[in-house]
Amino acid sequence: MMDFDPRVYENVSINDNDVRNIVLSYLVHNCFKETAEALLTGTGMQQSVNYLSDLDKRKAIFHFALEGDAIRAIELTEQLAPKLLEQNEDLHFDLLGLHFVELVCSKKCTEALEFAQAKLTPFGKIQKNVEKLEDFMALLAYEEPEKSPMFHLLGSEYRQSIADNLNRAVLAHANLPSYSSMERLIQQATVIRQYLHQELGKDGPPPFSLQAFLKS
Amino acid sequence: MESKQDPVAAGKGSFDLFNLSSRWASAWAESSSAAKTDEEEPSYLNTFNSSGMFQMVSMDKMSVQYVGSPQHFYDVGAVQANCPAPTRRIAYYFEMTVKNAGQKGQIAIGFTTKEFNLRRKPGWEANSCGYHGDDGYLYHGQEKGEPFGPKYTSDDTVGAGINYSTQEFFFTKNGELVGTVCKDIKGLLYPTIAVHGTNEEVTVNFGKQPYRFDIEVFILKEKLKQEELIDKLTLSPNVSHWIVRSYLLHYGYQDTVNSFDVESGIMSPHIPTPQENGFHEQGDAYELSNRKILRQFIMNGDIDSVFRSLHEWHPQIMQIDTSVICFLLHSQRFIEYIRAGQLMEAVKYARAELSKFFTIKPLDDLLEDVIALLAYEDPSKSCVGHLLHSGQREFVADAVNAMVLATSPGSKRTEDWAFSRLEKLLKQLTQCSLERRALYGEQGEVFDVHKVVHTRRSIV
Repeated sequence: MMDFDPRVYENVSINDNDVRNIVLSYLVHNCFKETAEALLTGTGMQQSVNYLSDLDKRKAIFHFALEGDAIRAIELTEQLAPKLLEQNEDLHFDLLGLHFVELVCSKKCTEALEFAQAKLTPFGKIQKNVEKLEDFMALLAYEEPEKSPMFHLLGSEYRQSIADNLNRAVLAHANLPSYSSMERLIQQATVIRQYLHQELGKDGPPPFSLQAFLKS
Repeated sequence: MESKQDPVAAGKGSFDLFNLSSRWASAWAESSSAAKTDEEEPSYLNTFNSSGMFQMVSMDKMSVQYVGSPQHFYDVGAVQANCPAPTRRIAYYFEMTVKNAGQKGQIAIGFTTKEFNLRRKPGWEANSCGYHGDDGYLYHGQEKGEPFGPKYTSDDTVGAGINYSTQEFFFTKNGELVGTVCKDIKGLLYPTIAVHGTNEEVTVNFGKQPYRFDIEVFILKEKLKQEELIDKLTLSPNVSHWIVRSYLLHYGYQDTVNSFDVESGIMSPHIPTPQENGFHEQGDAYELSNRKILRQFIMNGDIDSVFRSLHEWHPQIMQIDTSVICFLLHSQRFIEYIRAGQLMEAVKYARAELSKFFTIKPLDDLLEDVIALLAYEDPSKSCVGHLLHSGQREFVADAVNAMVLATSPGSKRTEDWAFSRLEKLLKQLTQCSLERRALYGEQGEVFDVHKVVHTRRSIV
């Protein structure tokens, strides 16, 4: 698939500092601390020391969530962003669920059951959580939970999505954008190209496709 | 027989390296281009372009009163604002308060085009729209209107606005939205008010006083609606990842790329490794370590090593000694002598290597700036002081980087090597926004990358 003909947009000028800031904000958002530092060194960009503060803590939180160590993640979140989990019940539920899954995977079934009854079932009072709660509990019924229909709850992709949500919530709590400007701009580019493609058909640019774009 | 593309052949080699960066421009040029002209906004009532006889505008030009008694339908006293509604925003709005509705309250508020017959109420003629107080009807281009909202009378405040995102008119009464109607009038629109009865009088507010209607919330809601559309689009995490990586590769930040790969292996284990993804990274990663080395030389001010390395690795780049890249490198060598305080060496070098550029346009003007560094005791404080900053070194590094990339085999045009994919994406985005705005008759907010980067989006 052909991408957008470059001659159409060649003469648009973009400020280099804006571009750098976009890249840097992506790195900071995703807790790529060493990379951000390397970029700052390589480009000689000036950034205040504060820029990377808290990033270590956020990175640790993200990391624990990614590993499935929800208890540590929750602990650190309470330190860095008190009341955040109170205000984000869905997220809290998901994190506690992660811990439950960890216990199940380590074959600590009694502990898992006790934990679930103490911490998870209260969330079941709200209708929308019931299905998820049932999925969690059902894991206990299988000797080999990874072979159950709910095996996705054990997977690293699932943990990644929870870690991402937690990261966004922590950023939002600090009044920082919860989406990096990089993502925002790509989303905008996609939406607008779709729109133009609809309106102008062949006369307009083709809809955005990563493959075509990276090959161009 | 296909000849190997030699991008540095005469003519082709001199692709616009200056297009690479705004940094070459001197400081004042940059700031002057940043100052955009603001759109004019309506601020008072127009007394020139009026029918004159049937209305009288107050001294402060913010009120109008009907003169005499109406006899028919062509003796309306309508007045327009001094200029049309600005279009480079999401919405425009203004209000009017009825001081005296007279006997029948035959007042109106709306928008009209420049040629509007001001002896008629807005809405009664083509290319106009009006919300009338006596019947609460909306008139949209003809004498017959439609039921729209409540009537309004003395002490009521009504407002009229244009929503550019939805291409609608909207009207309010006493702070409440009354309704919207599709705007199919093209071109510039003037806020218009009208009186048509004995002693009727209205006062207009173009924003100097707070509005009764919360227009800020209205605009914010509209913004959020647009953002929702964008929010809904879930992005695969790969996209950002590859674009950032491609940016780092493009500019030869090899250490940063390595760090990036390590950290993303830890932080986002699901993004396929370069080997797995099958994307053509060859282009971006071409001569990565050489480019990194060259960049490091330049950032350290070691231009001699750059010359040496380029002769060894890519002699074709330096082939034409009057090319732009040669100019940039020789200039930078000269600048480095100045930075080191070695003025005699600088002069010798200029005579040997820079003088040939005096006959080459447009390099001669830039050369003047460079040589001017000699004229000052403290050149860093002069108007050409920016040449001594690291920003200048970066610019040269980017140019060398682009030239090396351009030697890679393949059928890309030379110009395509000037920018990373990220920058291309941003240009595309800006261009597309302009096109979309054009579809809306050049109305609505103007997209600006700079604004996006510098606006912190806090959660509402």
